[in-house]
Amino acid sequence: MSMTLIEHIEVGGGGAASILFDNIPQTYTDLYFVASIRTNRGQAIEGMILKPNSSATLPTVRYLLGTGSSVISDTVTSLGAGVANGASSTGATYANTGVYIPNYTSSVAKSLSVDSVLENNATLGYQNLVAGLWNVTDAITSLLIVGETGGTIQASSSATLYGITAGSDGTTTVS
Amino acid sequence: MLAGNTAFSPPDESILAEEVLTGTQASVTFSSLGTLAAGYQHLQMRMVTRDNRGISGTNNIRLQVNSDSGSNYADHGLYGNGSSVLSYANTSQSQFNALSINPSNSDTADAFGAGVVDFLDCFETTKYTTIRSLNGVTVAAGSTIRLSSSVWMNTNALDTLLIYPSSASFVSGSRFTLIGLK
Repeated sequence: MSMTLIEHIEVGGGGAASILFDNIPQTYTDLYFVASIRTNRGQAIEGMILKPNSSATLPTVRYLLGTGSSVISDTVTSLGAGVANGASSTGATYANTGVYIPNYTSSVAKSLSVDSVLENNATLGYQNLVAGLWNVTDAITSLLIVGETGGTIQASSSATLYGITAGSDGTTTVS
Repeated sequence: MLAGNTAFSPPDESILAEEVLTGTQASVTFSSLGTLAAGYQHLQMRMVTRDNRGISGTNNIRLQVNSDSGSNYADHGLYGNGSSVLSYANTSQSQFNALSINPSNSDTADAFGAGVVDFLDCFETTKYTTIRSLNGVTVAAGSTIRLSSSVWMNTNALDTLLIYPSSASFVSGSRFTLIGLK
């Protein structure tokens, strides 16, 4: 296995409505991206939507979410890219998210796995585990990350996309 | 760059340092990260640990950044203990209390805890560093799976990571691997 940097995006001073990885090469086995995002939503948390190919069909996700004092679980379409800090959380604090998408070029539905955290110097903070399915058979050629309430992604937010290539050592067998 | 030589470009993912303990040790430190990780955007640390406490049960592994022991950390966690799922919060702490988790001398022989920790944009000086860790341990006295996190409320670039158990010392065979990601 090897991991190759495809693109690193850092949001500039004016902020951005979304982060887009476009023209993703179709040469890797899996995709993995990490994101460090803060938005201007007037609450501590902003759910981040993932739109493969900018499709209107969003991944459906089952999530487990710790809030600092309780735990909830539900099924939604708004956490495909985890969570982000909102404006009422501790200043200068950005969420930390990892999203894994295996077999992104396949002609079947795509699974995704997310672990995402939102820190805050208060009881309220979020730890988010997500399992999702994008039930579309098209290969993924782009990934759009956008806040569920449309909050502006703040300057210094970033996202980094990697391609993962399956390897073979010539010895290990799979059956 | 010397004339005629091509510029060195490190791989997109690379092991920067690894420490495998050959005896008991109170802590492990990775230092001079700005030099060690030059050219990398993010860090990941993978750890397999066990400590020498004389009691059974899990023990938290802690982290201090850049020798900062002020009340400049908050941490939260989501964890399962085999029968329930819980969430907790700590504010204004002097360290990240739950970087990882491990068993002790009184637990199953040779059982270690494991953790994978991600530091994103940890050399940027425009924002605090948020740390994400997926960690767990299986022992008779209290197996745990946990997603924990912390914010170090300082905009300085990471330079030093001090890792230590909340009590006692790491034992031989504990391993700490630091990976750079472009």
